[in-house]
Amino acid sequence: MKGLASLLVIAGGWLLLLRLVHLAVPAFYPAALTGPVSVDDFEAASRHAGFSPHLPYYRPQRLGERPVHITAVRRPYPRVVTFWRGERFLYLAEQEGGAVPARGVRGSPLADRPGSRTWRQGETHHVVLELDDRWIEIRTDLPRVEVERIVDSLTPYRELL
Amino acid sequence: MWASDSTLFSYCWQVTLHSLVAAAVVFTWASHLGLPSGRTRRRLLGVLLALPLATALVPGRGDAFRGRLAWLDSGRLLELPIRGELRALHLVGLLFAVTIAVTAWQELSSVLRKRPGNPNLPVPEELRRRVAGLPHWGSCRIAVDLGDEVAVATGGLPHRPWLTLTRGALDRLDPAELEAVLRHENAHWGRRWWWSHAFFGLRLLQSYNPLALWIFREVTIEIEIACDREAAKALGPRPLARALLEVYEGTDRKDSAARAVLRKRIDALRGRVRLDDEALPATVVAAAALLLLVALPWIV
Repeated sequence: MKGLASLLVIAGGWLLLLRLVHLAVPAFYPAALTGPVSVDDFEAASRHAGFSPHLPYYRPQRLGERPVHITAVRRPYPRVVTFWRGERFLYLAEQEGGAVPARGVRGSPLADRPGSRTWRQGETHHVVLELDDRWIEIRTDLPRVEVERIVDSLTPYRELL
Repeated sequence: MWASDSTLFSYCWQVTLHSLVAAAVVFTWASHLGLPSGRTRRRLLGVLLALPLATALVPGRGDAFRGRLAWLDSGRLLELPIRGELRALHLVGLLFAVTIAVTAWQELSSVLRKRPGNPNLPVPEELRRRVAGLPHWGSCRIAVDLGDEVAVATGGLPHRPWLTLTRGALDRLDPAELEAVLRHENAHWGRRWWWSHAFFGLRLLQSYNPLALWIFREVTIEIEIACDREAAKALGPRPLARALLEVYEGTDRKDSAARAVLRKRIDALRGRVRLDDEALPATVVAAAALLLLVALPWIV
């Protein structure tokens, strides 16, 4: 069909140019990546999100040795999400700014933590609390006692080094 | 969606981005082919006006898609810093605001410029007879306006059309020129009325998109040229070309855009602009639209 071959070549050229832009921008300006970006360690997560995330000093071995994935987001609100999975799992998300994460209607506060909320959904414990002006959300199938120990041991990553 | 909490802003940006990419492809292609004015060009312009509204709505292009699958993540460009806290994203917002203001001003000023005609000025009987004899204008209301310049306008709804002419048009155009102008205005009716208003609706839906404003202007010029060709069928091109020249000479020199359009129309009537309604088969235009429909959602 007349003109179709030239259309394919021209469209291909423009798409190639757009792909080069897509790859080149973060190479010259890494902060252009708003995320979510999978990173290898908490140092990279801190750099990307712009804050040092809280990590639990207390981490049962049943969660596995290392996190399965660490994800950092820059916009619309800086956020770091860490996920451990061994025999049990632990999901830990920390966000700077924005609305409070969803909380259970019948949740109750943790001891000595007014403003926090915890509730249970099946085998999973949910916790939402505010720490150092950031929202922290925890989901885990660990027992309640261990959940409270994890919350009490939350420490900025840099202080754990 | 990405860099803003506003889904509406995100959708508007996606429409603008898709519009930009589609226009880059189509205009490069049209330039390569030397595409003349005509039906093919109108069809392609219509595709450019309509398609981005649909491709920007394709679901499933959230954060995960952006991070792993998107061919181009425009969020990377919008994060580029301009100065201090100012990012490219903020300039886009400013562009949208300015474009909306320009659109509102254009529409408002055209309403303010509308000349309803003076009910006390008589309408020549010969003019009534000529107008009533043209298709779709059996019940057309005619009004004459006091004004020395040559100006003729038509509007209204299919069942209630109106036609306004200035005294200058009646006095300065000879019978053949007046007939040609009436036939041009009449050519805007029928099926073409529906297409024109559909294009206008698509343009209004993209009041924030500066490219849509420009594409709509190009479509309007193509429609004017098509109506000129239809008017020229009965009397030849010269009477209408002479009438357009009168309008051109009466147009303010500062209104360079209007004068450029009139020049192009006169050149088209005089055979100096290539016209071809079948430059490309409809199947090729459909294939181009399909290519864009498949490719654009991968740009987010």
